Amino acid sequence: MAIAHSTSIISQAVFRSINGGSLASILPLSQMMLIDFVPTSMRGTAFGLMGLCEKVAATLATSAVVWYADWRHPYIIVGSTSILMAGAAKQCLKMNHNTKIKEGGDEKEEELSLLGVFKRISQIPAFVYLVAQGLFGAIPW
Amino acid sequence: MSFLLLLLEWKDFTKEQIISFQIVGGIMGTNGALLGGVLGDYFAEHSYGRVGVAIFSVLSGIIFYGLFLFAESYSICITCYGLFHLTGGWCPAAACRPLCAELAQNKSERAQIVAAWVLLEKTSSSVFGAPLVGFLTRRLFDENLVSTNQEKASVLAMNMFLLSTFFWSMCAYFFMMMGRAEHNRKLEVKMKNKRGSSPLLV
Repeated sequence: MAIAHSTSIISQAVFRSINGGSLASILPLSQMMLIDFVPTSMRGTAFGLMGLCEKVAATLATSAVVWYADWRHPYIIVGSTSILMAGAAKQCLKMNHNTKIKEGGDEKEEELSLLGVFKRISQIPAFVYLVAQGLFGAIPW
Repeated sequence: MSFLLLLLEWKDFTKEQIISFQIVGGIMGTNGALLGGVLGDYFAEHSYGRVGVAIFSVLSGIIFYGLFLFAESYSICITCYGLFHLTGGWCPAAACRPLCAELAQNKSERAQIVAAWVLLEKTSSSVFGAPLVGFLTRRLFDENLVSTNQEKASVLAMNMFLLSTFFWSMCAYFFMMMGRAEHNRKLEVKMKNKRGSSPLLV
């Protein structure tokens, strides 16, 4: 909504950066929420369905923009919808933060630093290959 | 995508035909994402199930992309392009995301690892993606030797095919390695659980 009300290119760039940063932080969180709610055997379908919904929504949103005379209106609508969706998600999705799911009985719930995360990743061979395939597979054509 | 548009233009397709490529690619890609996830779940019980689906996706992607690049007629071209989008986008839903969740030990670590994975993948695709492809294509492209649109299209198609085949073959190779690592990890977990439940070891 701040982008819609910005009057200069600098303010537009600043708000877009904040918007991009916020959306980027939501991506891993939304994936985590999906993993928590869906059993292991259904995760592929759930991620597939999420991908399908994302693409359909993106297509509809892009098509809808054409019908607005003022470019600010889509921003205001998206901003208002996001606020409503955040409220709905808080109400509908109940997360239990206090219980720990024991896997193998020796689960350690500790937060890692950024360096710690990369160190942890490097210790999992399958994860190293997952990142490596992403390096080569994400070439856009 | 900009290279594709250039190629389609040099292949002398009309603007309507080029738009139809975008529509077909979009529809097939949207359905392909769901199909990949469903197939990943279906084969998940096999030790190389999810990774196998991903490797099939990459290899079929290479084949359909190659057929699309070198096809002359519009009907063959758009069919191969649609099939490329239908089969080429299975990896994230079928293998990458579900396996990534399984690799982490607990919830907080899982969120951090997925965030780091997204960071690494986005950064790498920004650096190694379009800029690298543009650089390599320019290096392979000798403008003095080609003059007609047909010649330009065939040279660009060959460059795109060589580059995509190289990168996606590497991708398939790392998926194979990942499958082996994942198989070993599952065996280790099974062994650990067996030892833990054995009454002799209690």
